[in-house]
Amino acid sequence: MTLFNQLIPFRTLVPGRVESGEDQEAFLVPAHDLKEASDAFGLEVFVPGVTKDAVELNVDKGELVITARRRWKAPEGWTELFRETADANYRLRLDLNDAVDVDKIGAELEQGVLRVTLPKADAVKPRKIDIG
Amino acid sequence: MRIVRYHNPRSLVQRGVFSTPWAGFEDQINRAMDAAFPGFFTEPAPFSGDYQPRVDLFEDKDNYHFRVELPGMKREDIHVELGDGVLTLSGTRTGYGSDGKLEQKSEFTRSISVPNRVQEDKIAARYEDGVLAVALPKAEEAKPRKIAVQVK
Repeated sequence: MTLFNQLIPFRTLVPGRVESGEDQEAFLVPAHDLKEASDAFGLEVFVPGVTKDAVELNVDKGELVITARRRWKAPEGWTELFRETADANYRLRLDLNDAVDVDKIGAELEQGVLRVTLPKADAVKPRKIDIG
Repeated sequence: MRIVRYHNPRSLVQRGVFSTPWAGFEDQINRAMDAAFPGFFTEPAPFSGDYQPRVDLFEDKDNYHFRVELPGMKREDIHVELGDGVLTLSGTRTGYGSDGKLEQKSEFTRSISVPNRVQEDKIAARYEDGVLAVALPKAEEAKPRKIAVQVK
């Protein structure tokens, strides 16, 4: 992938894998979908159990880092009988590679799905070239 | 092994954005690993056909609680049914393609047995932040009870 390019992309982008953050906190990579339109990329990140105040979107050195925390804890008196979910928080890192106009990134969160619009930088938009 | 650029329609990677010399090779490795260890290295994207929502089951003194991860659904598209001690969850999700026009409907169904008898008419379900929480009050005879035994 030229645009979202990391050294070994499939290892860091594979959902479900755990990576260590600062302070040895383990994060889960959430399932996500990336689509491309002519003027923007659309990123859908599936983060159930996360409210708007618990999401952080940062762009640092050309890398988009999305951290989403789940605040729900089982109340006192609840016993676990069967667990399939992990209690870890989510973190997704994507290398933007100058393809995105960082000032115009927009995001919305609805029912556990974070939809991020990443408008393309002018340099990568398709352009017609006239033959003179 | 031949290195072939193969675009798996189910892959999470955008088609056409692939163009490094390693792209085809990585894809081959991904698919080989996926075939050898299905569901281990990659989580299927929600509602991609293999999707089974993750369920947690808790109990407290009076209720059973199910919490199901179902991001991106509409309340009216989720169905919860209880029959014969089995809780069945089903739902449909409509997805839009990148141009906003293409619609894909995906469905899922998952059945889980409920450990004990429950009061069927008092079941409550809430869908918030992509998590469906179902509370099933235990039937009176299923609650833990102390039985006093007289010793003569």
